[in-house]
Amino acid sequence: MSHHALQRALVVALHDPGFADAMRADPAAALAPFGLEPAEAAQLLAVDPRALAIDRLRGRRVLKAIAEELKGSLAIALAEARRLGFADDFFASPCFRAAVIEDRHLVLALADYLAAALASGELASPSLAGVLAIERAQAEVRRDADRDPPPGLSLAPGIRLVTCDAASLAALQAAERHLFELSLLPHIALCDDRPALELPAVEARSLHLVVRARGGEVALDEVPEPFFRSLGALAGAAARAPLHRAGVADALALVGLRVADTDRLVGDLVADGYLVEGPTGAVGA
Amino acid sequence: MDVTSLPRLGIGISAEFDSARRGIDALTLRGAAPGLIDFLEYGCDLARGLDDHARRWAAAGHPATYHFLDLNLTERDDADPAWLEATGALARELGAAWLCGDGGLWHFGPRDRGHETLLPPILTRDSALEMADAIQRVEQATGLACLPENPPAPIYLGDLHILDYFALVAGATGGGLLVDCAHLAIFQRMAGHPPLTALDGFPLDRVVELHVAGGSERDHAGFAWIDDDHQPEPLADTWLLFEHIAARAPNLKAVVYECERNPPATVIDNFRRIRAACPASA
Repeated sequence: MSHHALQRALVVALHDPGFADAMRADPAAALAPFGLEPAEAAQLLAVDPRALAIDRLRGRRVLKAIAEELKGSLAIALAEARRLGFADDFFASPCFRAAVIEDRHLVLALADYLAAALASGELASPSLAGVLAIERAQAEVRRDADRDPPPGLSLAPGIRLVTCDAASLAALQAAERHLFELSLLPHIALCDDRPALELPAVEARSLHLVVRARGGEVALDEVPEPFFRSLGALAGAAARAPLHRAGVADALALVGLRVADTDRLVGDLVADGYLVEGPTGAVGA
Repeated sequence: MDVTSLPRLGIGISAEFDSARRGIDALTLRGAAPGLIDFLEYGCDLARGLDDHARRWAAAGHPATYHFLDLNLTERDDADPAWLEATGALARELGAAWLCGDGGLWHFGPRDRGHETLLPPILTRDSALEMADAIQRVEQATGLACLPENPPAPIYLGDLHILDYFALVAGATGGGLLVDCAHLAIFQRMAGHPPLTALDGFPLDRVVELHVAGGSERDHAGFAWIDDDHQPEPLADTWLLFEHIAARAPNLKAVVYECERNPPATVIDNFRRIRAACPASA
């Protein structure tokens, strides 16, 4: 309904001064993604620009709420960028705007923003990709655990598979420890000799993690590579089309795995909560 | 929900999660100044739940209401089954006589942890009818009345006066309303209206609860606005609205003075002024 579109445009205008300026300079272009009626656009354009800027901490409060789940990644990003403006610029990014327009979780939009900065070369910290992969997976499984599974076999709701360099967990812990130390005395921000974020060197070896939501908590389990590859192959096959037991051997063969008794493997994976079997999963067994 | 069947609660004080730790402890104030407060309005989101203060109040068997801080009443589907079930359980644990909450947006995008970004509704007929649907859904699922409250903001969009908007909501639900007099004073000021504008056509018989709170007049680059900061002293416009509505709302059951973050000595006289202005029914 149209009032939702106007609400979304107002949310963006309240958080992104650049958008507020752009909609005055070229209303048709700036407001096009929101699909406003002409009268609605006129109401938004009639807002006193000073009223949009009254609450100068609005964005910081939003960041405080969502950064909690990406605190290691954001710490590493800001340690490299060395400017708070990088965090504030999230609100001017396509990631924020798309999340508001499409009603997506803001924490995942912030993860997209950090990933985009890595992809574009704006950030290049070697530790960031792995830490971001772990924290993003944790954020996703918290929101995924109650999802209804699709038909057939699939990765259980509340599970993500993450491959990262072997130092990523240590880097995440180092970032969390650093933030804890800073939180003991926020006055540290005023000092030129404040401690630097020290991160372990990236390792060539990979870490294979199953990130799983369990009873309100999120667990990270390191698993052997063949097991990880099996889960990944089955998850990939299930994402392409409903996966039935008869198709498991072929899905595993695609990643070079041969299993003598796939029924037993599937039974074990279902029993251990890695896979679920949706309504038509038994068909073709 | 029939507003005449709701209990009379009297004069209440607001509380939020952990507010009693550094602000006013309602039980302590009740003991120190008998007859000053009758009930507690506790506000929180499901992520935080009841604090020790709210639990002690409930354990003492005193009346309470629950003010949610995490439901977008402007979005029909935001009241999902999990929220409805958990909120109903929390309200019952508190012993809440009813639910209430600002009719606006507490979050944008899906509900998440700790957002609490309050924005007002777009003041249109479609939005009001959608809010009415959401309220009826909450009432049916929880078995409790749900009173929408007019939210504060420096910016309101839409073609309706906020009182006409909430009149439409009440007309569609058949239920009650919560009028925050401080928020209404802000709306009137931002719209350039005298304080009592549009009250002549407003269904005062649907007003079940009133809020009174302090505010501060501020200026940003020459733009005058009111900060709903809940400091002890309400603005003159707020007192005018409160005393006008309290004298004319036949089903008024409760008045909350939102002052929990202030020293007790700074709010006692205002509690007495509020009680003096209330008819015996409230």
